[in-house]
Amino acid sequence: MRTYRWNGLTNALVYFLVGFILWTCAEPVTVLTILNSRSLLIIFILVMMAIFYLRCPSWLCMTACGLMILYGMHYYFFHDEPLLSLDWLISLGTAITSNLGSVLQGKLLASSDLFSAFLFFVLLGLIMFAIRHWLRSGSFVLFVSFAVLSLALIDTFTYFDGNRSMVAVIVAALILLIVHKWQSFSAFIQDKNTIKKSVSWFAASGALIFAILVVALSAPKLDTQWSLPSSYLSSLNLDFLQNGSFFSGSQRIGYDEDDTRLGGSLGMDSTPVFTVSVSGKPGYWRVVHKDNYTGQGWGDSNRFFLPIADTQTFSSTLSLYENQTRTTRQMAILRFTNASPAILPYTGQPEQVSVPDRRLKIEQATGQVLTENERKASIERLTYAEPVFQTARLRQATSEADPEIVRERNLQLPETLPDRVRELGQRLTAGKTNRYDQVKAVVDYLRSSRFRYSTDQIPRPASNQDYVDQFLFETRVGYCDNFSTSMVVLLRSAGIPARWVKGFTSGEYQGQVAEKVNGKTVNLNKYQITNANAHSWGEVYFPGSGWVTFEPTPSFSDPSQFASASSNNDSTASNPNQSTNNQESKKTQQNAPTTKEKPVKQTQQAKDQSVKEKQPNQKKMNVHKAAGVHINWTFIGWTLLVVCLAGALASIFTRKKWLTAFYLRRIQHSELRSWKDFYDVYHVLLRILNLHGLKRSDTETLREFAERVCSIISGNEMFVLTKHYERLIYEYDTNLPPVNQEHIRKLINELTSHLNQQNEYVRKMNKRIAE
Amino acid sequence: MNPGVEAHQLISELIDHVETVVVGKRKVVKLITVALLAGGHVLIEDIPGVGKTVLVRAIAKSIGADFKRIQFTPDLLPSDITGLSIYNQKDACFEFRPGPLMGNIILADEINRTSPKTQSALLEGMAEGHVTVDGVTRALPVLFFVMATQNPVEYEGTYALPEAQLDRFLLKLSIGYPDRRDELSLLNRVPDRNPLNELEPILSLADIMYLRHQVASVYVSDSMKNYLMDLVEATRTHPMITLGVSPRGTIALLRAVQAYAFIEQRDYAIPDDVKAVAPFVLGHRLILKQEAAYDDVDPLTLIQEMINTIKVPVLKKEMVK
Repeated sequence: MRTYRWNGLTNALVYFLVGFILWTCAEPVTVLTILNSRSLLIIFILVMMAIFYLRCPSWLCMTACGLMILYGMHYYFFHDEPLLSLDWLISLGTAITSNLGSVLQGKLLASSDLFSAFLFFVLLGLIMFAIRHWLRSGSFVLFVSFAVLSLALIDTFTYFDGNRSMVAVIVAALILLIVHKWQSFSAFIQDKNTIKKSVSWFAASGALIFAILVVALSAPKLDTQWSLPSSYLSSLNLDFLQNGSFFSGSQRIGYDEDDTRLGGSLGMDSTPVFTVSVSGKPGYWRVVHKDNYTGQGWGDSNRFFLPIADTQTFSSTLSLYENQTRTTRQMAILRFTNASPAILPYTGQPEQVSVPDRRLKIEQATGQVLTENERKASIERLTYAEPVFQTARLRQATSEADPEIVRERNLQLPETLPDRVRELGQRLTAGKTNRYDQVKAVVDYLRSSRFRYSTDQIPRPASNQDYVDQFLFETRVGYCDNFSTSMVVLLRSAGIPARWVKGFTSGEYQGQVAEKVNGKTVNLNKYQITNANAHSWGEVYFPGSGWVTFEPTPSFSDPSQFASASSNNDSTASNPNQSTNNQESKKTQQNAPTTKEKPVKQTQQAKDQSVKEKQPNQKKMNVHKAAGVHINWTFIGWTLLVVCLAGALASIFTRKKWLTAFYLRRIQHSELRSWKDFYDVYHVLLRILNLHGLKRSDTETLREFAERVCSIISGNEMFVLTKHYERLIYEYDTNLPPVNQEHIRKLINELTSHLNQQNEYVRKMNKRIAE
Repeated sequence: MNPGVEAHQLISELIDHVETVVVGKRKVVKLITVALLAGGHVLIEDIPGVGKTVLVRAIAKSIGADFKRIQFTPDLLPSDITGLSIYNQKDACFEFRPGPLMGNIILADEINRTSPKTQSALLEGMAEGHVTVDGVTRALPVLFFVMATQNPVEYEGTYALPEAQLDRFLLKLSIGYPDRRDELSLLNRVPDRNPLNELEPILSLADIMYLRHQVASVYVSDSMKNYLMDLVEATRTHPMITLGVSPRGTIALLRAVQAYAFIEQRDYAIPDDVKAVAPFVLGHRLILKQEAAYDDVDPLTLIQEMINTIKVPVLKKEMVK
C-alpha cells in the first residue's frame, strides 16, 4: 500500500519534471515569436501532462490536444470574436486550407503567421505524444538529449540566452533520471530495506547533482568559439532559415510586409537587396506608407491595386508634393539581386517607373508599387522629382487647409491609446505657433538623449500594451520603428496629420558608374542597399507643400532638403549634393558630402533596420526566370551532409537489427556444400551473436562460449554447431565426413529463432521494468 | 562395429563402474583414467580419510590385472618392494622372489611416509620400466601403472618427494571433500556391505593395451600443438616461477590431452582438453619462487591464470583466405 502511494507520488514528480523540461525548451518561442503568451504555453503543457499522468485513453488525449490548439489559435488570432462562435473557426479553417494549398504547391515559405502558429501548436502536440510514448517506455535519455540539443541550437542561432534554461534542464534531467532509476529498482526490492536504500540512493545522487553543479558552474569556460553563427548561416544563403515575420524577435533586418505587430529585438544582416545608380542626391527609398495605427503596429488597409502603364505618369495616382515645393528632375536605375523581395522602391515623386517586360500596379492607399502577380523585377528605371521644401512656406501651413481625406486618414488614433501619450503630444507642441515648429519639437524630443537607439534586447510589448506607450514611457530604448511610430502618434495626438513610411535608407556609396540612358552615356552615383539599410520614418502633411519627410531616429540624418528662403532654391536644386542644412536640422548628422562628387558613406545608417524581410517565396520558386536556373549547391551540399550524418547515426544505433538481417541473409544464401561454407557461416553466426552482446573472448574455447550462449538463449543448437566446427578445425582433414546441409541449416534456423525469442523476452522485461 | 566406438564405450563403462564405489568424484576418476590410458602414473595427494585408497582400489579392481598394494612405512626397505634373492637350499642357488612392484597395477599407499631410499626404488621402476635387484636388472610388466597416495607434506612423519621425482608422475591430483549430497548418500549406505568387494573387473589387460594404442593415435592439430607450446612457454617465462615445465612435461601434457580427448569420445584434441588436464599435468612440475610462497600462491591457480591469458586457436589456416 505504502509502496503504491510512493510510486504514485514519484510518477507525478516524473511527469512534472518532463513537463518542466518541455516548458523550458518551449519557452524561447514566447520570446522569439509572436506567440508571446507564457501562461498559454504553460497551461497547454500542464493540461497535457496531467492528462497523460492520469493515463487517459488516446482519444481523450488527442481531443484535449486538439482543443488546446484551437484555444491557442483563438487566443492569438481571433481574440476579438467570442470563443464559442463558429465564425472564427470557419475563417481559421479557410486560412489553414488556403495555406495548405500553397504548401502543396511547393510554396512552403509563403505561409502566413496564422499557419505558422498553427503548425507550431500541432508540432508541440506531436512532441507531447512522443513524450507520452517515452514516458511509458522509460526512454528518458533520448528525451533529455533532444531537449538539450534543441536548447543548444536555439541558444546558438537566435539571440535567446539559453544559459539559465540549459542549467535548469540539466538539473531537471538529472533528477528525472534519478527518480526513474529509483522507480525501476524499487520495483524489485520488496523487503524492509526499501526505505533505507531509497534514502541512501537519493542522498548519494543528490550529492552527486550538487557536485556536478558546483563543478560545472565554477569551472572556467571557454569564450565563444563561433561568434556569429547567424551571419555565417546567412552567408550560406539558406534564406529559408531566416524567413518569416512569425519570428517576432530578432528577425534579420530586411523587408517585411507585415507591420501589425511591432517590437522585439533585431539582428543584423548585410545581404544586398539592390543597387541603385542615381543622378541626384539619393533620398530614402520608400516602399510603402501606412495610415492605420492599431496600438500594436501598423495595420494593413484593403489592398486595392491600380494597374499603371509604363508611360503613364504617377502624379495622378500618387501625389507627394504640391506646388509650393520646388523639384528637380532626376533619374535612377535600380538593379535587384536574387535575394531581393518583390518590391519596387522609389524616391522623391516618381514620374515614370518602368520595368522591362513587366506590367506594374500601384496600391493607392499605401503607395506601394509592385509588378503584376508580385513577381520579382530584375531592374527598375525611374524618373522622379527630387523635392526641396521651402521652410517659410512650411511655416505658413495651417490645419484649416488640410483636405478632408488627409484629416480622415492621417489623424487616426486607436481608442486604446493611453492618455499619457496624447497628453505628451499636446504638451510637446503647445506654445509652437506653426506646424513646422511643432513637428520639429516632436522630432527633437525623440532625438534627444532621453531615448537610446539600439536593436538589441528590445522587449516586446505585452499583448495588451500599446507599442508607443511602452517605448515612450517604459523602455526608452528602440530602433527606427519605435521612433517613427512614436513620432507619427505624437503628431496625430497634437492634431497634425502624419503617416508612417518604410523602405530603405540611401545605402552605401560605391563610386561613380557610367550608364547608358536612352542611348546617352551618363555618369551616375552608385549605391548599394542591403537588408541592413531597411528603415522606417515619418511624413507630415503640409498644405501647399505636400508630404514632408522627417527623421525622428537618432543617428540618422534627415534626407529632406529644406530651403530657408525661396531665393536660393535654384542653387540647391541644381546641385543636389550640396543640400542646405537649416538650423532646424543641425542635430541631424550631415549626410551630404564635403566634396561635390563623392557622398560620404553612410556607415552609421547601416545599423538600423525596421523593415523585416519576408521573402516573397513564390519568387524563389521561380527558378526558371530570365537569369537562368539557379541551383544553390551549398545548400544542397549541406543538406546532403546533414542527411548523411543523420543516416550514419541512425544506422549505428539500429545496427543490431539491420546487421543481423544482413548476416542472416548471407547465411541463407550460403550453399553449405563444403566445410569451407560451413566455416564461413559459423563465423557469421559468431558475428550475429556478437551483435546481440554475446562475444567470445580470445581465451575462451569455442565450447565454453557455446555453453554460455546456450545458457542465455534456450536450446543447444549453438553447442551442436560448435561441435561440428570444432571437428572441422581440430580434426584431421581426411577424417571429416561430408557436410550434412539440412541438419546444419535446421540448427541455424532454430538458433536464430531462439535468439529472436530471447530478444523479444528481454524487450518485454525492459518494458515491464519501465512500467 | 566401429572399434573406436567400442573403445569409447569401454571407457565410459569403466568410469561408471568406479563411480558406484566412489560417489561424486567423476572428474578425478576421469583423470586417473587419463593417466592409465596415457601410460603415466598418478599421485593423489590429500588429507587422510577422503577416499584416496578406496578410489585407487576401485579402479584397480575394475581392471582384470595383477594388482599389488604397498603400504609405505618409515621402516620399509627397497628390497621389500622390488623383491629379493633368497638362497634355495634344494637347488643350491639364489632364487629371485619378486616383490610387490612386479605387478601390473600398484597402489603405493602413503608414499611420503617411507624413506627416500625406498621412494627412489619405486620411482626408478616408474621411470625406467625395470628394477635392479642384486645387480640384475629385471623388467617390469608391460602394463605398469602406479597410483600413489600421499598426505600433504605438512603432516608429521613424512618425507617430501624431491621435485625431480615428482616429475615421474603424469598427474598429481587431489580429491577434496565430497558434496553434501554425496556425503549424505555415503551415510545412507548399508553398513555391512562394502561395495568395493562386489566390484568385478571389466577391462582386461589386452583391453588396456588396445585403448592405449588408440589413444596414441588421437589427432592433435598443429594449431593445438602450438597452443600447448604457448602454455608451456608461459610457465617458463612467468615471473613467479623459478623452474618451468621441462620438455618431458610437454610430452606428458600432449599424452594427457590425447587421453582426455579419447575419454571424451573424440579422436582429435580440442583446447578444452588442454584446459581440463593442464593444471594436473603441469602443477607439480613447477618450482615457484619464494615470493610466491609468501603470497600464498599455489601452482594450480598460476596455471589457471596462464590458461586464461593464452589465446585459444579457433581458426583453420586453410580456411582463411
